[in-house]
Amino acid sequence: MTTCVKGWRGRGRYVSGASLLLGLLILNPATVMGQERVEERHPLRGDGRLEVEVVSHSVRVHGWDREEVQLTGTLDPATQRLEISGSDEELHIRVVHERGSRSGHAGELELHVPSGARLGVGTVSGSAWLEGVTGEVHGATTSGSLELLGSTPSHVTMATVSGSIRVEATSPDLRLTTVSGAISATGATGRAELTTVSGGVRLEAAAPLEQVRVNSVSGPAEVRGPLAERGVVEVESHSGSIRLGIPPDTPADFEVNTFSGAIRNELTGDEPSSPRFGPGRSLNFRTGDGSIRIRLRTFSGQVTLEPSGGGDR
Amino acid sequence: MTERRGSTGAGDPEPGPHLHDELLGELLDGDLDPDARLQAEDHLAECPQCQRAYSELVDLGHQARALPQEIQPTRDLWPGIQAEVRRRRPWVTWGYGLAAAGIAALILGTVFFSPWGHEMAEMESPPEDPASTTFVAQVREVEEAYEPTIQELRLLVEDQELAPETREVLEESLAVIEEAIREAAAALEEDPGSPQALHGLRRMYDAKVEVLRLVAGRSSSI
Repeated sequence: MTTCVKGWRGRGRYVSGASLLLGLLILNPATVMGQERVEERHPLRGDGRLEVEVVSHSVRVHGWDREEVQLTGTLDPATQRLEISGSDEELHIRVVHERGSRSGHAGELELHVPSGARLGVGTVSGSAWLEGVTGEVHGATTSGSLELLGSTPSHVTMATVSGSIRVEATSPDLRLTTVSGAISATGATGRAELTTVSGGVRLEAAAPLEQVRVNSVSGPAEVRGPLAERGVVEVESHSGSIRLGIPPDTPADFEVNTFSGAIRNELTGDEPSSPRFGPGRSLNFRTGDGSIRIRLRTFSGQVTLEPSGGGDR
Repeated sequence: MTERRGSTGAGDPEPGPHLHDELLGELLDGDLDPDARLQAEDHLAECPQCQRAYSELVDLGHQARALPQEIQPTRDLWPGIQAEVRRRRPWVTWGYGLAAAGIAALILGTVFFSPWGHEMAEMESPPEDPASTTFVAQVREVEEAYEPTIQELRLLVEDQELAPETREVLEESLAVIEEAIREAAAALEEDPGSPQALHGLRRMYDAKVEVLRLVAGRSSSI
């Protein structure tokens, strides 16, 4: 879908009118200059989709029980135009900067959105903060941070390059990726996939985890919490350490391997072993019926297994 | 997705078409998407036949893992083999050095994609040394599998207007990955049959692709 664009300083131009055919098209007559205030209201269905794209603005999103989006805040001086388009099923909000422009004063946008809406928030250097949402959440920034708090989203995907990701929300499906930023996620309940190069990763379960995958290159990774029956935990790192904390009575089949790192097992009395010749250490053992599958692997990082709180498995 | 499983008991209820073995394997490996997993688990909860099949699969995995992963010789044979190979072919040590240098350059993404790369690699790979050949072949195979994608993504990233600090983070992160690639390649050189080292090498190329993809996607989406 394309968007009718209205600019300022004489830069206005029309890209396409296709969205006119798709539903309600909202021109933004209140395009503002400098760090001006913006205040907009647009209808959006409870299960509608909202996409927000900004450059350096910080974005705060609150879920509410109305079927409309309220946008307030300030646009920074580098803003070329604000575009709002779409319909009550799918709404797009985009703040466009002049190419290469920088502003010392980042703008701030605050949105109230239907709590069940499917949300997509993208920034370059701005940070995004979301609370009280229950639909899908997709967040992406380059250097900004992403935070999701006090929510119960059905699905969360977040990605940053250098920014950090913090999730304190109950969700059955988390997919979080950073390059150098840190990831902290508490409240996972089902499936979680966390990926980093050098940032630290910490995942703490609110309820038994069904499927956990963590990949790191040099960042340390920590997974803590109860695991669901027939759950699967796979954590891999090159040089980063891996720490797994689970209830001591977890019935699991463990395979722990490292090429040149160390393995510490504080969970049971099982000891790691080395092949008679060549490098590597491994620790394979089984507790209970072994129905949960645990695979931990590092190249040179240390792996630690330790007991953690029970939970309600 | 499902098939009829052979009847194993007259009293078994029939909760619907059974889960086939491949699906059960994917369930065990955690490779199913959430919906398929839920669906399979719902069926599993009610179907004794599939429960039995699943248990058999779990047990099979346990039995397989209980087998020795490798059979160790009674003594370390490699020093003797290495000494003999070196005695017969004095260039082998030099060959390793050249191969390592080739790998370092290869990792930097130049050798096999420059006009002279193929020729140089062919000249410098010692063809008659099994360990070295395996090592070079393994690394080359991995590198060749990933490099076209890496080059494409590199071009995409180059075309983007990245903030200097973002580019710095990207280059630092790629340097971390490339160091990890060098370590994995060195481990593979030491132990050409090592599945861990080969796995580590592949994973690091995966990481490189993912980082470039993330940055390319990120910067082009605004």
